[in-house]
Amino acid sequence: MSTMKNTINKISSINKSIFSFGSNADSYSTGAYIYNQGSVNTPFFHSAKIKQIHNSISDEGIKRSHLNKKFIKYYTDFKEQFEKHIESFSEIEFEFAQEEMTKSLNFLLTFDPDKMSLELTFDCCIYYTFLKGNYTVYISHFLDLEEYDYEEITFAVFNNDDKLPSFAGDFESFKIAFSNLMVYKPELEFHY
Amino acid sequence: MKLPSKISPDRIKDSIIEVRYSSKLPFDILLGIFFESLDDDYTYANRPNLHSTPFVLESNVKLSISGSALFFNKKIKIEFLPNIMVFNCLESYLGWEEYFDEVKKVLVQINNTKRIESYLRIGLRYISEYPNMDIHDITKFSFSFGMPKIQSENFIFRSEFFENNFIIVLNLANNLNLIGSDNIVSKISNIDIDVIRDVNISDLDELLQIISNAHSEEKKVFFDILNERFLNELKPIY
Repeated sequence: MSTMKNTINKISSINKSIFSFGSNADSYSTGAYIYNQGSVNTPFFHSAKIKQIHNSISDEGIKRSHLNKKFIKYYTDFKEQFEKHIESFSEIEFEFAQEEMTKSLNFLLTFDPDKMSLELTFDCCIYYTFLKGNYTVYISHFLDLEEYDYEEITFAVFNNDDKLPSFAGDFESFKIAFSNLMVYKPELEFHY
Repeated sequence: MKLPSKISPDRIKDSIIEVRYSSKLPFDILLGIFFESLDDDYTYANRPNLHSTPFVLESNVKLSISGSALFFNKKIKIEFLPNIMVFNCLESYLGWEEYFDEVKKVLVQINNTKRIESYLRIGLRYISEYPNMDIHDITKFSFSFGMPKIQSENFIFRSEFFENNFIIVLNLANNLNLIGSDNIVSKISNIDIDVIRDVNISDLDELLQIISNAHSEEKKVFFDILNERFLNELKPIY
């Protein structure tokens, strides 16, 4: 139970944005976690709820919008690469590749990497290089499992020059392993 | 006051148009109908919400997996949420004529499904960002609070007011500390103008006219706030 509580607290702190009208005041205001925040994007605190006009799209919506822009950029790049390397992907339907790519890309983007690249390799693999703080993670998402008898996803992690244990497994196990890698690293901060 | 048709740089970070609507159909079904109605110019993707997928705990407890429907072409993106459509420019601001044309195209196709009962609210929110600039150097805004020796390091100002049947929410932020992904702290100031009208209409032409009027109001407020010296630096075209 305490592990769950610690994790929830960590998740809350990870998702707290550094810059938005609301949470910017959270950083320093006395009693920020005691008083109810106003119901809209305002740093005004009062024990009663403040009735104000709701903005078009919330701050969270704006953050989501910025992530969506990044997603679209990677998606467009993926499509171009797929068309360029169509011979290597002759056994793979584009819609299937797109669906798989969306799965892994969506997941990785929510960790707000400092830098990330996406490449398609000749062995029907989506290859990500993910940089966050001192961590560099090389992720291979294999599309043609029958041909190569691979695990669905593998990743290798470096903390600066130190190699950490790698991972190989299915997508669900990958999500757990990658989340644990990212969530339990206190020196990493997440900014949208 | 004569309003410029273009300034450079415009520094517009977000140019959001939000349309809220009602429909008799559940959202999941409506989304499929919208998908069918939009032409091949648009690509569809399902995007998870921020507080979702990543946090899969070792005990295999998953925290809220839900997504929103994202459509995009080379110029704009549209997010569909229950009873809400949100438009935004994909990269840099297109300019109003081009942006509104893209929005109109989508709204016409959606409206032609005849599944929208009525439009309930229009919001137009433009957010301009000014890195390492002081809002006093950009705008005519100033305030005092009986302590003349004090100079605020940073501040946030919010005002709601009515103008021409619109509710206008003006947010000014000055010199807020922005921590970038490289952990370098920089200062940022914002001018955030949100123009809103609650409606209950079913006519598309009326909706489009209100959106256009909302844009005119936003422009008026924005250029009224800017000080003349700064405006002249933006090479305004009339």
